[in-house]
Amino acid sequence: MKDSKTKIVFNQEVAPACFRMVLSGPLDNFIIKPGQFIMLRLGMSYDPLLRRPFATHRFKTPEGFFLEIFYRVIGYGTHIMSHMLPGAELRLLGPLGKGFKFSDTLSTALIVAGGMGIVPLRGLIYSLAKSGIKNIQIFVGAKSTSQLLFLTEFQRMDIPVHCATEDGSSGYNGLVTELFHRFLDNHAFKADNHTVCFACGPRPMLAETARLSFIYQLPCQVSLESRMACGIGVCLGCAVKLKQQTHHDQDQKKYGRVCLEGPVFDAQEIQW
Amino acid sequence: MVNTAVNIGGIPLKNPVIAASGTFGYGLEFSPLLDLNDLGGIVVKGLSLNPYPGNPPPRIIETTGGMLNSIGLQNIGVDAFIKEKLPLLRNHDVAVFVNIFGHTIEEYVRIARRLSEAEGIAGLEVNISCPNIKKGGMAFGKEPKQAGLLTKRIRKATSLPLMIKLTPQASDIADVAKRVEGEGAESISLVNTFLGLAIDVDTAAPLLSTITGGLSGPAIKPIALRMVWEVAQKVSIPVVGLGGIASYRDALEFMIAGAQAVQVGTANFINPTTCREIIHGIKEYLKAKHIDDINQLVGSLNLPGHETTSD
Repeated sequence: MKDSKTKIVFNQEVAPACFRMVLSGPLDNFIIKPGQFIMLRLGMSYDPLLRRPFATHRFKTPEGFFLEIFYRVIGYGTHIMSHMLPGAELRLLGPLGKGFKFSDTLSTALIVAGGMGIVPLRGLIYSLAKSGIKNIQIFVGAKSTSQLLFLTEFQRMDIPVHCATEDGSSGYNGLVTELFHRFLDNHAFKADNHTVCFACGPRPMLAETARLSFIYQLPCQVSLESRMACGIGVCLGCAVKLKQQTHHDQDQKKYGRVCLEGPVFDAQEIQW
Repeated sequence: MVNTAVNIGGIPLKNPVIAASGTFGYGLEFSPLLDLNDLGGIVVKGLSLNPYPGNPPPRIIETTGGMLNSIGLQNIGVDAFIKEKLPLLRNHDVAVFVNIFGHTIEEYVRIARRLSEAEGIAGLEVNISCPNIKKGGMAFGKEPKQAGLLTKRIRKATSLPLMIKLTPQASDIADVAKRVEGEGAESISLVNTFLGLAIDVDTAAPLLSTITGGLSGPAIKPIALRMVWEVAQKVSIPVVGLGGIASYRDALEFMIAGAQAVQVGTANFINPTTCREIIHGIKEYLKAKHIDDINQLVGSLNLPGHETTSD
């Protein structure tokens, strides 16, 4: 983990209210695992004050290494970001947190993403494909077709993508968790001991995915989002409630830090 | 060579910059980013007698130039600190202050006793100012009499130097300061966070689980500075100033107002090397101004022709 200076080289809207930002900097030794994140300081003033956490993915071009992030303009910080121009310098702290985990014995990866939740999962999908995991099934949900990201990319990789949109403009008309439920229910699909579910998205969607994976006895890893100030485990602002594991814990509430113990947690660890 | 060493109630610091409690973990978390030996001191996250889970989320929300928090003093407890963290902190040449809090006077006394037996602690910072716990904490800091009584009891229980951390929620913070001075505190630190509120207008619900939380960050600096200035004139023990300090110029303002040292809090979140940059900035300032001892700066507020409304 280190704090370094980066420069914006690209920052444009790629889908309605969704921006892609590319950063350059001393990234040769910047190894970031899928599911890990960075904290970006949005300028040098105190407004916005805190750094913002982003999932990121490193890629290489003939000009060297770059990091890319995707963000939806939803609040003050992302609104300011959407107006930043190439050449602007940002401080970058990372890599942070614990990412997704999978072993060589993994046979089937079920990827469940809601909205911008596909962003941290995209790096995982690359990594799974590179490791030769044969059966990857992607379930993505969004409000509308225009907000479904990376579809052509996944199709080019020959990975089956199951889409759900809330307005019915493409794929299943409804929630991605409903689509996922139908898939698990279908007798054509048989999970084995080496099937794992990986999910990221809004909290209710993750809670439902956790419930389904519990019923179908699938190990499930979820990547959580939380407001955080430091990203390194000291502010304790990003805490999420964990299930009490032992009898001993019964009268003691338990919290986990999204930035340090997470952002990827075992779905059954979380008190949904 | 300029002298940046200060003495806070019997505790020598190599420079006046201390990392504030609750923003620096148990210190070791910053080791990959910062050499702890560079700092004047660190105040570790507030400890209670037993581990404490803290408040339910959401616990933080950013506001203009600041942040509201309601962590609720989540901590590993005094015994785990002594066993797991303190031995590692002893490897560093930095003054370690341990921030303590309790729900009752008896709890404060027991933690103080427990820490007195441990090795490697420079002093205790007594938290009578946390706005985020239901019982204890700030309740002791709002009333001069209560604050005095608590200080007196802890004073009897330990020989470690005591720094009492004051709350700006007190109706007369200088009165609280005088009272704890009278009961034997070696120094005071001020201010802890200001009680604040933020609301999500789309849901008409508060943005923190506990409704209100403590406001910190640059937004509170002018109020904190005014309080430090007022208190520093009323007490003769060292005052440690904090509240929104993010640059060396902020730190210098507090020292000119009368603080002998400063604490840096929220700024550690934004920029983990803030403390080091502040120390560097102070040294450069002293050189440029031909001041050979930082202590000459303390309380040097220049007031020719100004009328003060104080008193």
